[in-house]
Amino acid sequence: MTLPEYPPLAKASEGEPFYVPCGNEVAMFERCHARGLAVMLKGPTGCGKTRFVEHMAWKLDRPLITVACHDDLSASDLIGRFLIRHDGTVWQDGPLTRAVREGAICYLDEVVEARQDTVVVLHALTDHRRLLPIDKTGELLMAAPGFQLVISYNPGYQRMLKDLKPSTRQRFVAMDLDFPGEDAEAKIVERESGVDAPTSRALVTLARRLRALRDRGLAEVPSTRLLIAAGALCVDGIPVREACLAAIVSPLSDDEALVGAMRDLVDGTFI
Amino acid sequence: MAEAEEVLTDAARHATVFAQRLWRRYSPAPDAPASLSLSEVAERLELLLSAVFGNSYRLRIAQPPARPTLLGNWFGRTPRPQRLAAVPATDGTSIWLPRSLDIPDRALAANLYRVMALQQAMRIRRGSALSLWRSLPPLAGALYHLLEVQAAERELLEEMPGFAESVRALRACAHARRPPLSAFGSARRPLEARVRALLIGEADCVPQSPTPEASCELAVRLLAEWGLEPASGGRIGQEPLFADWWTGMLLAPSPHHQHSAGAQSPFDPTQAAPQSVRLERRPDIRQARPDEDESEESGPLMIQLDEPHPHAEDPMGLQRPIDRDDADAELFGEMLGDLPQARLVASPGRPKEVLLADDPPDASANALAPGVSALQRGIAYPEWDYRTQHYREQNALVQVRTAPPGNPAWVAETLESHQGLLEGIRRRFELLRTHRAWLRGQVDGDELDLDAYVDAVANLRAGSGLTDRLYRTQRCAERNLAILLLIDVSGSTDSWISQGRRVIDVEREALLLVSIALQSLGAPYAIQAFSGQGREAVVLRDIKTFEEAYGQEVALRIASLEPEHYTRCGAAIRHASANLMCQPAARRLLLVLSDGKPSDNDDYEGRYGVEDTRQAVLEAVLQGISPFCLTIDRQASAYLPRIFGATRYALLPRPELLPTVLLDWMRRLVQG
Ligand SMILES: Nc1ncnc2c1ncn2[C@@H]1O[C@H](COP(=O)(O)OP(=O)(O)O)[C@@H](O)[C@H]1O
Ligand SMILES: [Mg+2]
Repeated sequence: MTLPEYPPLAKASEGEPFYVPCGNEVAMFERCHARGLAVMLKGPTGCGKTRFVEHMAWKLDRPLITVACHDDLSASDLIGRFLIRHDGTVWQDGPLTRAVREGAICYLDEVVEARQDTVVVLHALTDHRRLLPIDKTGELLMAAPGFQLVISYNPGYQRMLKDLKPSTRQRFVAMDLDFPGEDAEAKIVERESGVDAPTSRALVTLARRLRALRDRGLAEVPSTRLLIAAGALCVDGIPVREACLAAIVSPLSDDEALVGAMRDLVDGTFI
Repeated sequence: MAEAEEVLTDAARHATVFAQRLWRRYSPAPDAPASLSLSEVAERLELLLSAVFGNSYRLRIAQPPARPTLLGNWFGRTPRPQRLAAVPATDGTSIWLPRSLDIPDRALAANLYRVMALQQAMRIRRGSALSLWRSLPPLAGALYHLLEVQAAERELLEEMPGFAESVRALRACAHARRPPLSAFGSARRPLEARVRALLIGEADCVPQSPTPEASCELAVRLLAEWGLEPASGGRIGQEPLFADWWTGMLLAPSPHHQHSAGAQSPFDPTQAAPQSVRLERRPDIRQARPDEDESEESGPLMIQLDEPHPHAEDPMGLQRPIDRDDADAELFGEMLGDLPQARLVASPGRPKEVLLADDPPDASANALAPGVSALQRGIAYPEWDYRTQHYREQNALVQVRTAPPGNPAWVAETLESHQGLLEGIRRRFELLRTHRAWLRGQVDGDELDLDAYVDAVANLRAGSGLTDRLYRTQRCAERNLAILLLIDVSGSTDSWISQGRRVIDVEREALLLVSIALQSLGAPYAIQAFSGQGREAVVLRDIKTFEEAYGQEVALRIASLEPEHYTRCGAAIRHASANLMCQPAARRLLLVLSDGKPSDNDDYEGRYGVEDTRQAVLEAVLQGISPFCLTIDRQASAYLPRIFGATRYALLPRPELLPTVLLDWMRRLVQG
């Protein structure tokens, strides 16, 4: 048996990360970067927030340090800690401290997932002095030029259940990202998954219809990422309807009527 | 109040006062039980339509035509063959579909329903029903109709090419079910032949028309071109096109009916409850003729049970004999069902008969009754109207009240008799309480674990390697939970269950025990009791707020709970959700304790209430609240899964067990 060749999903590391702008976000981000302003990216899961930051880091020629936030993330996970060795202790910078020293872009993905007391360490970095106090070493770090703090979160996700404190939100320039327009999204899906143009177009049409079911019980709507996954399955020879059911419909809901209607949409959208 | 038997079928009520026994009994054909019914697929269809068209349309049950023999004779104009089955239709805003397709193959039936719904929605989007096609001569009108059907279908398939197969199936079924060509009179035959050719896809000469207006012009042109006009003036009737599942019908846009001024009669409970009977079909709504209100001779009137109570009146000016108060509602229902049309009027007073129809006339409930704004006190919440798939803004007013203190003796007695139980419960809830705890000897953590380090260094000196478990970390196993208990104290809790105790007695007792037990959990909790009478008075009593600690005052308020009014749950759940959302907690639990389904003294009874409550629950879920319902209604399994979802409710087979079961569920939910 031979294994099929898998087309690469994304070529982030080599050269320019592929990003299709949806509005003026690129110019806005550049201005914020030049002024050292912290940025908050809001938008649904899989709408391209991470890709956007990767693209901007490449464009601004800055290193990018990404931290995926989770509810166990502690302040020392961000700032650093003493490592204990047989001959004593050594201080090791956390990702945030490293970014501050190197003048990198530090991207905290899904920041609402982090504990409130962890998020507070960001505060001093976001006012005009851009300082990071490191309690454990007594150091007071001044951010190197080029350092920028970027956080992302998904306002729809578990709405209100987890939220940033208003005092935290105030410190960021917020940029609303949403799913790309129809043409742009079709282009993205085609390129990222390698699927043919008509199928990519149909996948996007399907997604737009499914997104109309938001607030009718569908808490999360299908993202560009899911479309790319479905497209990639098609490229691997899975029939398109099956690929959509597996990659798009099933992940989104268990509700009988909703799944039924979504199946109908899949059936109607593809020949 | 008439109890609606079915939850999914519409049980909006129509009051009819009917005056004449002109028509004979109507014997309904019983539904074949196995075939798929519209109510089974309605929700799925609604979702499909709103996804495809970005717009939600009200799905309604299409009615079979009035029986031909009588009416055909009456008007003497409609030539044979005449349609017997219900067909899909639209008036430009709503979509009607047959109640059942009577096809044994359920998958095929679902497919046909889907295509019918999509085709009707596409006709709505094109505006097929709204153009001025009615002013065309009948045959041109029929052609217009066919052109629109064809054009809408083509647009549909452009957007949803995957349904081509289903469309073919629908055409085939429609074709097979048309009466034989020989059944048509010679005047209608050329048209019928065209329809058949279209149905089997052999009429390639039909041009695609971009708009309904273009179709009107095209229809006139084609009429001449095709020479469909009967030479010798044979009878073609007003509607020469024989409607089927594929062609459907284009109905006149629904008129807005008026209320008769000042006709507001207070509900008089002393009067006997109206007789009620289900209508097999209700007449279509007829517009009043300009002179009708003055003339002695008026057409059929049908009156809707919204306030003020409307009623139906007979055609031909024959009023219902006043002495026939004992007349049976069933017979009226049958007679009304045979009417092709009736005019909708509203009149004060209480109806004598209530006729239930599958497809109620357009309600005028959206209009606020006069004087409401003056009365407006309380917090307004919207209600979900499943028929329009929209919220009715500010439809329900929640009045927050406090509960007066009740009998201290009851509190003392209850506590004493449950002393043992309470102790056990307290302990179990204490165990659920959480603390911040230091986890020692971790590979990673916030701080050095000094003890571990000392041990490690000693071990190292002694020659073994250095362990890496040298940190300690603070884990907040904290629950971070807020709980709101929402208690139904509607009139139905007045009913007796066992040992001379009422539902409310058991509820009160359970509530007292739980509110004591919850104290030991340490999470903020609140208790609210609700009932309602009309949408302007949904009463919500604060038994315990989140801020307040449990104490004798709370206990006394619980003691004072007595059955009141109806169960207008939607607004209560919305209010409770709003309260709960103000609590800074990671998890929010809304526990609804109820003894019956949504009800009120208006259209909240029946499907409207169920759907509004479901929507309120859905809103709560979307806000991140975990709702749960505990109920002692034995019929609840018919509607609770619909409202709360399959896993978010529990039925209590023996109400006396409420205190233990409630506590048990609380524990499970808190842990979950
Ligand atoms: N505007 C865009 N340009 C290019 N690719 C995009 C864009 N939006 C989404 N994508 C694709 O969607 C995938 C998911 O996006 P991602 O940035 O991970 O989403 P998020 O971080 O918002 O959850 C990416 O891997 C990328 O392939
Ligand atoms: Mg991401």
